[in-house]
Parts: sequence; structure tokens; C-alpha cells
Amino acid sequence: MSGGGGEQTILLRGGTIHDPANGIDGQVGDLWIAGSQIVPPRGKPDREIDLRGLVVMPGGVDLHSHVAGPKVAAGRRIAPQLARRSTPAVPTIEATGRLYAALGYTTVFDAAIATAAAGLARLELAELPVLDKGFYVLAADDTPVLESLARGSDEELERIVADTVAATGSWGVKVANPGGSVFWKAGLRGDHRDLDEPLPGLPITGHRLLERLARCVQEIGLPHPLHVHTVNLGLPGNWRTTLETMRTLDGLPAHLAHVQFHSYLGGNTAAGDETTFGSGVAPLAEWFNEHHSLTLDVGQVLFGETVAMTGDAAAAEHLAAATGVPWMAHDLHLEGGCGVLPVTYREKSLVHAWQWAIGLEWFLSVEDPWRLALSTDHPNGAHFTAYPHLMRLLGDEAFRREAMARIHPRVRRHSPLAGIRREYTLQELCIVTRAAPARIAGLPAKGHLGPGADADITVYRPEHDLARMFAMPAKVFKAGRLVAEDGELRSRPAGSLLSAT
Amino acid sequence: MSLSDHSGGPASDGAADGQPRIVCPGCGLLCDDILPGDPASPRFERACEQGRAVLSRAWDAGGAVEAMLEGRPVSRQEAIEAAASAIRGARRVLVTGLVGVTLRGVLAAADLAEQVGGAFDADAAETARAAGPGMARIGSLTADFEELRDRADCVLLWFVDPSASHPRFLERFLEPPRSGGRKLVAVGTPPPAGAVHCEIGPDDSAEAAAVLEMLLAGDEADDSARPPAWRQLVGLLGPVAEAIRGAGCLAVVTDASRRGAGIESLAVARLVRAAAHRGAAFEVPLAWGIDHGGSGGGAAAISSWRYAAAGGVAVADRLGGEYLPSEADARRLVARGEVDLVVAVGPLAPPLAEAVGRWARLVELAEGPGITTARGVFVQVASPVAEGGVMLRGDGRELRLPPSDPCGPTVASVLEEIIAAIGEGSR
Repeated sequence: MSGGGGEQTILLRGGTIHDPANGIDGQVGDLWIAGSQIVPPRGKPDREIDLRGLVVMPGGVDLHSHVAGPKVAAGRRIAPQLARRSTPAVPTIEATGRLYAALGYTTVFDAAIATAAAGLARLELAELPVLDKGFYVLAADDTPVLESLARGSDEELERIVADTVAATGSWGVKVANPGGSVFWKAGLRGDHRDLDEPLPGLPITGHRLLERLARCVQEIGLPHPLHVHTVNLGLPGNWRTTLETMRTLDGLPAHLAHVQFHSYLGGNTAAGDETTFGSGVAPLAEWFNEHHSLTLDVGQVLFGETVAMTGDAAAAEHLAAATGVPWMAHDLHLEGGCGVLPVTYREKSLVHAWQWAIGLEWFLSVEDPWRLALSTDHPNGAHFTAYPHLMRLLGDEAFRREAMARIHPRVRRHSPLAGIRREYTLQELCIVTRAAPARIAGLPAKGHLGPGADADITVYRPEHDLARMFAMPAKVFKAGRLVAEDGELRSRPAGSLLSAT
Repeated sequence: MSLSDHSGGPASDGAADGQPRIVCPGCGLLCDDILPGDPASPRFERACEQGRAVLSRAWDAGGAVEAMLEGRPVSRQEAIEAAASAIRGARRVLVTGLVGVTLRGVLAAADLAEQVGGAFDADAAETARAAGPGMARIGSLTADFEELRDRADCVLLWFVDPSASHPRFLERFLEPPRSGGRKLVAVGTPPPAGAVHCEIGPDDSAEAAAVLEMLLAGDEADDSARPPAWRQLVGLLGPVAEAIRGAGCLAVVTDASRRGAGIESLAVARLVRAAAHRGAAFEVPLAWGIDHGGSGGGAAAISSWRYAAAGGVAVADRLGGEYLPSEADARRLVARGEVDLVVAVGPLAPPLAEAVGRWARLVELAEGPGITTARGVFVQVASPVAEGGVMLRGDGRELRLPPSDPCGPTVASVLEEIIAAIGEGSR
């Protein structure tokens, strides 16, 4: 072995490399792998792979997905008809890993696991093959956390949150509808409210909860900042509380999840007045672009059938009441709850078309791609296997215009998206699918191809059709091992469970 | 089995008074407050009568026969090789039981089913619920037991008698005082003391749920076109609706093992959902009763992540098992002769045990010989009480059993040996 230390060395020769973290934008070059890491050039490799004419990027990182735990289990059960498709709406844990790997993704985070369900979720995630994986724990709903917030001791709060993260083996802390579980369990639906409204029976507001929890996560030094699903998900007019959330977190590191679902103008669609529904992205993006402590993922909606699942029980109830579809919910003692229901997003639906346009508007309005992670909030907005389609919508304005021609005419006429000409470059697509999410998640060895990085590498055939290009990588390496080739799994390593402690 | 190691696990919350606690795996409640007492003659304080029997068996299992083949005692190794040979030679294998088994044991059972392309079903009420029209058309709104205990100010017992199926349910979750009190209402079953009671026959349960939903919605307008039986139900259920109306949090306790016509599950799901759109309301389905032998929650969870269904899996395949709830549940497969060999991991519910005894060869892993016929293989395994590990209660809540000294091999280790023996025999 020439790699030293008994590790096999592989030379990936002559690929067109996109490595934004190291300032490399489509330059032809070589990459050296020793064992599971990328290393500086060495003498003679044990193996050489010719990548001339191919595009090389770090392995994809999905910062916000739903792949494991009881909520996902409910999603698999609630719509058996969606489980029988070639790509099920909510695949088994094995199929999830294989599909992600074949797509060129090598790391995934489940965005919402209840504290009480963490042990089971870790067992399940351990069976997700190939990828490295972790989860954010929904600690903000836990009674000890809420009571500590009410008592006002930062030190105590930090100890409780740190203990919860350690005991659950989680990567970060998520808040889903701040204080919403308290409203929900009091029989008050938990939505349609402001951040300044006191929580029932507790002398704290959502405003205070967010601010103190974000500071707590920063103080205890978790790699990923507080992961925030703010109030009023999916409700018309919710852009105001989203802006209030951003202001609350100003100056604090925090990640705003699936902002598409929180960026709506409008009045009361439940009462039948859908004409006022629209995009509230402009003021939110303006604020976001000027305040640099925050990051976000979009939660893009794409048209088709899927299953919605959330730790925000109130949001699920609202959607279930509005649509009448089957609805599963489960409340946990001393913690929150969840809601799961099938959803079909239709091009001709006014609201769904707005959701589609609002997501794209977000992508195209954020000036700094390093603060944005591509997501569909799988499976809520769409299945993760639809990412290549989304990447084409972002990188191909003509394709986007064609898609826009098919949606509800009012949205076509009134959405700011119609006037946006921006196209993502390959480098920008590389940033929002791997470099930025790795950095936001706090993974220094991922999302780049410099020496010391994990050898998680995806190789694409360049094509004009970006959806085709990104749908089937020519080769995918995970920790230096070839795991997929042209959509076929070549090996099945277990991947690692990532925990913050 | 030793008691000395029971002091440290999460279930041993009685360390403060110096007495270790153990978990009773007898039903889906997994009571975790049992005081075993003197190791020489344990009394299992707080356990119900049936639970004491389950725990006594676990304690005494050390003296039981280790393995049997065709009704005669054999060594464990001989039994394992015979089991592997029987499985290899079977036309179609069903892996079932899976209640009263730790998660590690269920995972090993699933591995076995996958190795031979077998069917996988815990004969669980949850599978039946998932396959019913209530789940597909309305959904399912549930909560864990402590949510009922601490939140529900009104509990409706709907054609369920927990005192028979889950003997300590009332004591642990309904009787503890709740600030603000709690109203109890029983429909179709003997009422606990102090409950509002409405006697309705089980054949009328679906109609009763529909009537109650209507009454709670205040939709009592002209019912002259309804049949007399309907109007009679309106009269009977009026006091029930009155008692429930105004509840801050309504819990509806149901018997999830009731199979019968699926229309009942549809009507109850509608009733709970209608209430949940008006305020806090949820269902607490009770399954896997004391005569069934444990909790199938773990089997349902693992089957869901491996095969995308809680059970009724015709072919265990991690890429998405064939989910055929009306074709591949354990009882149907056995009754139709579609399987010729059943691997029973842990105890079977009496109806399935009876069918298996009549129709199929059996490989049985249990604490003691149960339904082994002269045609079967039996391997003794340690009780989960002795094994330690993690089990799920009937409400899905994780419960860590304190580790102990297993008397005999664990379910997982025996299954792993059988899997290895099948692999060797195939080479």
C-alpha cells in the first residue's frame, strides 16, 4: 500500500471539481482518498479512477428530512396505497438509505424526534444503510424544559437541555411551534396566535421561549444552532409571525426550517376567502438578507401525492379539518405530540400553486446561498427523490417558465416569481445541497473536498437537463467506498450515527 | 434468576425506598412498579393475579425442560439444528408471536423471516386496526396512558372492560386523583364505581357511536325518519352525551382486539375525530390483554420501519414487504393452510395457538413448553424479565427493563443460532 498507515489510496483523476468551501468552481483536478478521508496528493495510488469529463461534488447533505421514528412509522401506515408505488411516499428505512445513496446523498438528519421516542429512533436509524445520520430532539416541548424556562434560570435550562441531548444521542435541538404543545394540550388549538401570547399556565411567551432556547443551544456549544419551526405553520397571514420570529432571534444563531410554509399573506382561507392568499416572501427575504445570524431551509412543495408529518400537532389538526383527509395524531405525556396525514399538491389548486411559487421565490430571493439549504421537508413538501427536479427548476429559467405556465392562472399573474430571471449555477446548486447544509449542521468534515474531509463524493455526468444529471450520479463514494453507480447500489456500508456528545 | 441486579435501571424507580422494581411483561401495560420481595419466595407485590403467574413462571423457569423435539427432551443444540432443518424444508414459514419479547428479540425474529422469505405478523390488534376502514378513511387519534391519567377530565369506556383484559389499568390510570376531578362514563360494559353507565349490546356499537357523534354535535333535529332502534339509542345515549359535553379533555378507551365488522372501528374513529376537532380528545386503544401474553408494540414498530406495515406482511423484505392485511395475518395464513411451519416467538394468543396446534408444524421459543405438539420443536428461552432490554408498551412508550441474570438463552441469541444453522445447512 502506498497510502501509508495500511489504508488503500484511490486517485480520482481529471474530474471537473465543484468544491465551494475551498473556492474551487468547476476546475479540472485530481482528488486523493486514503481510507475514508480525502488526503493531499501522494506517490502512487493503489487504484486510479478516470473522471475526465465528469462533474465532481461533495456528497449531498440533507439538513431537514423525516426518515425515522414513530411519526414516520405512522406515515408508512396511513396511506398504504402510497406505499405500493415504485418509490413509496414513505419508504422503509432500508429503501430510504438506498434511494438517498443512489441520488448522491451521504448524510441525512431527521428533523423532529420526540425525547421519549429517541431510543427507538436510534435503533431505526442504525438500520438506515450507507449514509451518516442524526436527528434533532424536540426538547422544547418537554415539561422540564418549559418549567425551567418559566423559572428563569439559564444555568438550569442549559443543564436540562445538555442532559437531554446526551441522553437521546441527538445532534441538535428542534422547536416545533414554540409553546404550541401547551396550547394544544389545553384544548386551545395552538395556532392563530402571536409570539407574545403567554403559554397557558406558564409565565412565558413563545417569544421568550425562542430567544432563551436559541441562546441556550449556543451556550452549551451544540454544533447546530436551534432548529426552529415557528408558529402558525401553513396559515394565511403567517408571514407576520415569521418576521417576528426572525426579529426575536436577531443576532442569535438559529436555523429557520421550511420557511415556505411560514410565508403566506392572506386572511381566513378556512372561511372560504382564498383570494387574499399570497406570497409574503419579499419582506421576509429582505430582512433575512440583511441579518446574517440566521440560516434557513425552504421546504419546497412539488406537485403530487405525499404524506405530511409534523411534531406540530395543531398544524396537522388545522390541515385535517380543512381537507377532511385521514389524520393520525399521538400525544406524549410530558412532551408534545404529532400529526400525520396524506396530502396531494395540485397544480391547479390556488393554494398549492402559491405554495410552489413561494418556495421557489425564497430560493431565488436569498442572496447568500451559504445561508440556505435545499429541502422539501421530505415527505411534507415532496419526496426527496424529487430534488433533481427542484434543482432544474432553480437552474433552468426556461424550464421554470414552462412549469409556471401550468399552474393556477391567478398565481401566474400575481406571483413575484414570474419576474425573477435568476438561475442557479452548478456552483450554487452545489452550495445549497452539500456545502451550506454541512456548514449549517456543524459538520466540518463534510460538504467539502479538502484534505481531512470525509471522502463522501458524488460524480455526475454533465447534462443540459439538470434533473437528469442530478437524478442518477455516475458514481457515489461514501467514506472512500464506492456505494452506488448509475443508480445501482454497489456496496452497503452501515454509515455512522451522529450525536453531538 | 437473581434480584441483585435490579437496582439501577430506569424501571427501578423505587431505589429511594431501597426496594428494587421489576417490570411485568404480562400485558400491554408493562407495569413497571412490581416489588418482587424476598428472592427465595418472591411475592410480586402490586402485580395483578395473572401478572403474578407470569412473573412466577419467569422466576421458576430455571427448572423447566431446556428443549424438546417431537415431544421428547433433547439438548438445546439438537433442537436448534432440528428447527433450522424444519425451516429450511418448509414450503412457507410464518414468524409470529412477538408479544412479550424485547426489541432485540423482535429484530432477530425479523432477520429470520427475511432470511427465508417468510411471512411476518404479530397477530396484533394494531394490524387489524391499520387494515380497517377507520384508519384508511378517518385516521387514528391516540395518546399514551399517562396522558389519559393526567389530562383527561372525562373518560369514556367504549365496549371495553379493562378490569378483565388489563387488570391494573383502572388502578394505575383511571383511579389516581386528578386535580379538577374526572368523570367516568361506560357504554356497553360493566361500569367502574361511580361511572355514568349505558347498557347497549355489542351488536349496536357502531350505531351507538354514530348516534353519540350526532348528539355531541348537537345535531338532533328531526329524527322521525329514523328507525325505532335509532331513536331508542338516542334515548339511551342522551345522558352519556350530557356527561361528556363540556369535557376539557375527552379520552375514549376502546378494545383494539375487537375484530368483527370493520364498520365499528370506522364509527368510533369518526366519533373521536369529531370530538378532536372541537377540543382535546383522543382514543386509548387497549390491545394485547393479559390472556394474550404481553405487548406487541415493539413488533408493530419494527415491522413498520422494516416492511412499511405494522404486520400482515406476506414476504418480509426490507425494501418494502408485501403488506396484505386481509391475506397475510397470522390467523388467516394458518387457518388457510398457506403456511406449513410457524415460528412462534414468545407466547401466542389462544385462538392462534389453537389453530397452529391443529394445522402447522411448530418451532416454539418460549419460557416453558406451551403448545408444542408431537410434531414440533421447543427451545426454552429466558423471560424478558430476566433478559433485560427494551420493550414497548401497548401505547408505544419505551420501557427499559433492568438487566438481570438470564436463566437460559435469550430469544435473540436462540434465533441467531437458528439463523446461523440455516445458513450452514444451505451451503
